[in-house]
Amino acid sequence: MPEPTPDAVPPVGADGNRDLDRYAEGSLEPGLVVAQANLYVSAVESGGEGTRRVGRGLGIGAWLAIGWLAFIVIVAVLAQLGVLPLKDPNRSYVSCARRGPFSTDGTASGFLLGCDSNGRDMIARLAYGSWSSLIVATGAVLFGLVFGGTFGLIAGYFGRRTDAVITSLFNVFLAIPAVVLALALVAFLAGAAASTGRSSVDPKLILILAIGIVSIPLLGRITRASALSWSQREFVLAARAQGAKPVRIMLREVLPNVLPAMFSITLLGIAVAIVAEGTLSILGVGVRPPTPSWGNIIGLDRGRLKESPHIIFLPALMIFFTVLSLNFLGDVVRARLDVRESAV
Amino acid sequence: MTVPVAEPTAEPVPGAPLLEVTDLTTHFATPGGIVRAVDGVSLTLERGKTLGIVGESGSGKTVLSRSIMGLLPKRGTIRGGSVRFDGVELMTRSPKEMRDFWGARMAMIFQDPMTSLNPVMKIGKQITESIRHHLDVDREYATELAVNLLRSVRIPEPERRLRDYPHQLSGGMRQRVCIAVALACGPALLFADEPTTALDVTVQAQVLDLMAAQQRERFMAIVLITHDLGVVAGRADEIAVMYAGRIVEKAPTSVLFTQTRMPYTKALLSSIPKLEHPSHSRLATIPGRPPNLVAPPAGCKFAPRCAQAQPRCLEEDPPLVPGVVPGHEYRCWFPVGTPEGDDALARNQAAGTTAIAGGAA
Repeated sequence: MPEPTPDAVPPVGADGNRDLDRYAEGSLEPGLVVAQANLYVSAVESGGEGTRRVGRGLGIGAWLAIGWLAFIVIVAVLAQLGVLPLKDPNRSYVSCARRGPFSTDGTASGFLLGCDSNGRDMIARLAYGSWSSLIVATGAVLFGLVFGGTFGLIAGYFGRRTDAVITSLFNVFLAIPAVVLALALVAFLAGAAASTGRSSVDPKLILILAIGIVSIPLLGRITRASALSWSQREFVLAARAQGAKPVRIMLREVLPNVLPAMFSITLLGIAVAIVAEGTLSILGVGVRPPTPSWGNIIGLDRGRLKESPHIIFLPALMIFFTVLSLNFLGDVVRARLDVRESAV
Repeated sequence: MTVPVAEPTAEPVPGAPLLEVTDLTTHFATPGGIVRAVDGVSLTLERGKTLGIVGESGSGKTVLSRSIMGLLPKRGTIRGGSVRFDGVELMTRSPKEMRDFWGARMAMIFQDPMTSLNPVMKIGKQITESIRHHLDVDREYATELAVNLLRSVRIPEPERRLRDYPHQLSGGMRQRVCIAVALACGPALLFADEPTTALDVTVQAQVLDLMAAQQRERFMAIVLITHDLGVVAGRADEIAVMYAGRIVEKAPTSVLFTQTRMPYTKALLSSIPKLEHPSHSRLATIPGRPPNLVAPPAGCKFAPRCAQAQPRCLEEDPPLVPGVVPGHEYRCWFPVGTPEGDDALARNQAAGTTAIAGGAA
């Protein structure tokens, strides 16, 4: 039984706008425009799928964001594999310390983006640093997603007392300033690792745990809200009436419907976690030097903002574009989600 | 094809009716007070028979069916009375114990097929889920069963439909899938909660016919819940009319239509539009609204809306009394079609008012 698909409805909004533009140029009679505008308004009010501003395509912004993120990920992975023709990120070229980008004098000619205060190549440090930043942020959000998602799903599905307890716990965690909590966790986890004689634990793992724990209530609350609304749907009751067990209903009926919302928040979460890693690095507890990360490149030379700003601005720009892309994509995903939910 | 049947969890009592509900009450504790959604309902249902439950919105039809099945949330719900299924008492069973009954022995079809299927799960999966849960069969056999089920609910190309998602099907098709899901484990009792309300009129009859065919084939009992007397008229063996959480009249179908005793049933019947009415004639309605279930009126709950209400109706709650025909019961002091009822109606018409309006004046 074919139902009318959204594609069958012509995008009225686009044409309406074009005629308004023509009117602005003076090539269209005003009366026609009024008719057109009425048409446009009634089409909007009728709320057809075709009038949605999010069309079938993703739009140039989303593709730019995807392009930038793909570029960053590929660079990070290839640099880590040692495939890229980069200088050693930890080798100092004393003569060109603090040399700015595109500097042509003397030995600095080989350093396209200049060097940091120790004379280390900025390109190499940024490329290797992206690996640390991305792995910490992604790892932390995945950690938060697994635990926050589980708690959120349980709270949203069972509701009532279970929900009250879990939500209160989330709220308590949210009441502690995130940076303070992360700092405390890093100190605690590092101390715990050292006292158990495992000082060889990768400091990145400690960061992942610390930022991950901080992100649990944020991700958990989103999951809970989505799970709560899906759990009230009739198909959940129908599954219960067929004798399905609660765990099964949560995993098979509710979780698949909650996943899109979780995916959208994951993108935003990674963006926040990148910034968090940077903040912790500036406070001196981030990725441990000499291993570069975007945050600790800034952190190490934060005193030299005036004399050699490029050392600060280049990693800041990396963070800026990456976070912007992630936020933008997160919004695009969420907008698409709304479309899907209303269509169901 | 032989359909494996889930093992009953307790020994059935021979000779007992399939479903025996005695004085079932279901109250909800709300901030505004206790809502008496179901207030002392008794009914019995034999195997292979259909019981129609009719009433307007808020009369407690849906709560009654969910309460019998034990599907209501535990907190805030106060249930009393007895529900015996196949001779086994269900009221004392925990949800965990009820899971062996749900789907396998009793199943439910919901009103809106748009929302009672999981939008992100393929049709086939939704059917095989409960088959594999209740019947100990492997994946291939479950799939084969699902194909046969879809074929039996007359879905064309069942093998292909298994891989479809709910949004790829029309409303009628989806309700057929819901029926297939409910029938998957061969339940002895099927609750159909307004199964055709969300469907096109042309599809309604098809879906009801389909249910009747499946009922004959499986010797299954059906509780058909609807607000539409037309839906149950030709299909139910017995009809119970509900008002304010109670059964106000219950009778074998033909008796209910020919020997209507309860004024509410009569009002429902006369509000069905008739073809022989001239066009543009005003539709008959029942004045007023159903009573507040937190603080229901003393006396007969229908008295405030009843055309033949007398002072006695406002003070004394009429009990369910048996009628002439066996199985006919009704709640009324002045039943329709009896000298007392005709007299009451004539008196009210002569006075131009009913007891409640007269008392207020």
